[in-house]
Amino acid sequence: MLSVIAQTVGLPSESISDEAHLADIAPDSIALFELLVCFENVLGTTVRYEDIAAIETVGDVIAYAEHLPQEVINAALERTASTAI
Amino acid sequence: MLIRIVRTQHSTKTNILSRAAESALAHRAASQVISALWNGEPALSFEVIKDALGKPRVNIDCDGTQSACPISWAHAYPYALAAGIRNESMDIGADIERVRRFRREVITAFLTDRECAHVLEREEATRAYHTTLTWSIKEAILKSIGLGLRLNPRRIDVTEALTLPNYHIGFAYVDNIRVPLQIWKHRTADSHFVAAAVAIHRNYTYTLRNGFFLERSLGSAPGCALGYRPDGRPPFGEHL
Repeated sequence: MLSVIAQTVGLPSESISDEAHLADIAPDSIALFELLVCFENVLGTTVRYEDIAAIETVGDVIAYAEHLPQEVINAALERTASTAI
Repeated sequence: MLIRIVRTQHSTKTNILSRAAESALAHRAASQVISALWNGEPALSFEVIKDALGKPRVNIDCDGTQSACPISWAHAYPYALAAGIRNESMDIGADIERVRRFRREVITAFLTDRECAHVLEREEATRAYHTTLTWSIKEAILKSIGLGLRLNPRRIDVTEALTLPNYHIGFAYVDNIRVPLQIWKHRTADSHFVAAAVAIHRNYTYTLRNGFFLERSLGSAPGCALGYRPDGRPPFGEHL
């Protein structure tokens, strides 16, 4: 998740902390939306737009991903692993 | 509807202003809008209040007379934009964006099929402008109805609004419901930014009641307290 955020907003992963506000690292609403699309691609699922209101920080994104159904997480991990190979 | 764009003289290497500087710039634009709406009368005081969804309104005291006006602002370095209307039965939304190219997957994630077709009909050299303008109008509508990105932008269609003159009364579709609106579109003189502002009657906007998003116009209809729509479509009401 952290590397997706870093890649999308053009910042090194190590400079982004869990407490960082998405609004501070993404320069505008379009960049935030691009992040959302990237998450959907990585997770292979659609994000419920109603949930977005509760997501403010990088840590919130990670927590959101961790609460997805296990099969979604497993599939995302498999995709990430096959991409790395 | 009254709109003001201001530009900061402050320069940054990152093209991102601090939150304080952004707020100061937006405040400057909003002050100009308020002053113009009240014909330059000096306000004894004014304060910005936000409703349950975070949508701002200005309470203003001129000569002891209290008034309220819907207001919206946005910034994209080096600009800030504010829009207001002296009509409490309207809600307002404004947005400004740097013109850019979008990845195809991002385009298909926020444009409806009709909007996509409209943008693809434009000359390639102007597609970035038309795509960014479409986003900007949608963002302004999302802000005016009070939901922001809590509503999937593909549920809004602004194809007709894209073809209107720069300041016009037209309509958009939200969940296939025809929504009349005042729309203003603008491209900055340097051509690098587009801006949009819309004013929509409050009947078409949302409020938050009992933890559910609720269309104001449906407020008195049976079942709406639970966020269900009387026309049988799935409920939009969801807990925040």
